[in-house]
Amino acid sequence: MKRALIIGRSNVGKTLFCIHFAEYLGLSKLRWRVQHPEGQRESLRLGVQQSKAALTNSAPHFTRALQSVDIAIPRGKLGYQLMLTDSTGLTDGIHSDVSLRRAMAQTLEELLHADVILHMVDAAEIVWAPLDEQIYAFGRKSSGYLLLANKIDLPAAKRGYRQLARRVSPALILPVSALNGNGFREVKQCVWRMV
Amino acid sequence: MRRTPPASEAHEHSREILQRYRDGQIALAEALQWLAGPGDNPQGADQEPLSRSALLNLLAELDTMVGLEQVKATVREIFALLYMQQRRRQFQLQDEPVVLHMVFKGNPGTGKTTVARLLSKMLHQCGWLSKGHLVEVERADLVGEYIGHTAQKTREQVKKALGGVLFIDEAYSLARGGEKDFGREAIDCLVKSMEDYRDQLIVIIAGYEQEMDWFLATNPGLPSRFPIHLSFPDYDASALMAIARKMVSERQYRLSREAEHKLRAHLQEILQTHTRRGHFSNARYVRNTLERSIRRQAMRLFEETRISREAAMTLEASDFVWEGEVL
Repeated sequence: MKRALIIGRSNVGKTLFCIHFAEYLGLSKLRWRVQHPEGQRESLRLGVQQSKAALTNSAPHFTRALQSVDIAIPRGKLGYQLMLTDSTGLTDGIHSDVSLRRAMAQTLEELLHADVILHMVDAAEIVWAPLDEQIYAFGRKSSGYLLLANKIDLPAAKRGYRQLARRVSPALILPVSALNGNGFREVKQCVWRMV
Repeated sequence: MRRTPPASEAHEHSREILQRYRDGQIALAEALQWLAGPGDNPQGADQEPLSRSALLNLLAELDTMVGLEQVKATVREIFALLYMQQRRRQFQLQDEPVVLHMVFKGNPGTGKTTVARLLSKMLHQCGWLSKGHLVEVERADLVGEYIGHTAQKTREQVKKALGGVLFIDEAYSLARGGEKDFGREAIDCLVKSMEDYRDQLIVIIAGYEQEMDWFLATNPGLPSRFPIHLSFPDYDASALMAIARKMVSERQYRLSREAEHKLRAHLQEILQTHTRRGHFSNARYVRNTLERSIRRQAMRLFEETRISREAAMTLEASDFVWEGEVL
């Protein structure tokens, strides 16, 4: 079982990407394994639409737990299992909310064990925060790191993407749109190659 | 003097960082930075040279302990050596790796564990030990139940103690069981680990004087591997009184004059009747006595509705009662 972690600042579209990417890979019923920072685990079986309604929201810090979906990768005779994990959004500094801080610490802990790090940034916003720089620095040391410039469907995102491409190595960056599914094929190829 | 940390240590390190983030002590970016660069010591204590005044501060804490002149002198020697090694290094002179495994000999309650704990803290502060914790083990923690189990258990304890002090209480019991006892295996494993990790670990074996001498004599390799021997003599009555005074003031209590008299007389009497070795638990006895008197004082003041600050701090002679207690 390989572990892929989607990480990034809050409100960049991690959960939506996770849902749509799973859908793109052929899952219609998603089995979410939710792991709360306090330690409880629950299992949810939701369709794509239901998942979107239940798990995503435009308010920041809607996700406060690790939510994983298992995806089968057809390769060779047996295939591989990939655990795609959606995580709590990170904010810089010391967040005043203790439970949120626990959730972020949980994200960081998962980061240490992840085989593939999918680092997501919002290309339409101010793109490169110090926090992203840190995650990038961390990711560069591990073998599986990919930077996803999300929200590429928005008009402002083209410029943001160009800025990003200047900042980091272009081989590591992919433009995607979690909403429309642009760029999922490339993400799939890259992830398959890494695991 | 230190190597790059092994995988388990790095894991420990990252857990510590996460905990500190969870507690709100560090910002997320810092946490990430430290996670990204394992081995980057946050305090940068590695490079910081040991200054003379910092050393004297460390030693001042030891000096607050009552008695133990020989121990204090030896610890001073050790620290002087560490300091000197560092200065020699500045001149590019060769420095021998310092081996600091120790034998503590003394009766119960003479301060062996306290000194070990203090030493590990001091050596951590001056940068010789990376973590400075004390792992206290006894025979049961090292010796296993079946063949091959012992080495495993011993190694586990050694791993736990890396970067700190492994303190083996009543160490002579490892050799007591005879030729076929698994204690031998524990000793062999320990000796090997002491050599392997000699710059990351300090092993201190402790026990009664005679038993420890016998223990060191059973294995010809042992005495040479523990270069430092410290003897903890029994305390006399005035030293015990000084300890008692120190203990009560640490707990923010005071002894009334009568109480002090009563305690001194009692200690003198006990010392005279129980001169036999190992039957009196020295400072621990004092501590237990004081704790019991603190409880009795609490009972005495429980009835009163209004008490002064003075009364809440003072232990009276009537709080000291000895009947059928363990020495």
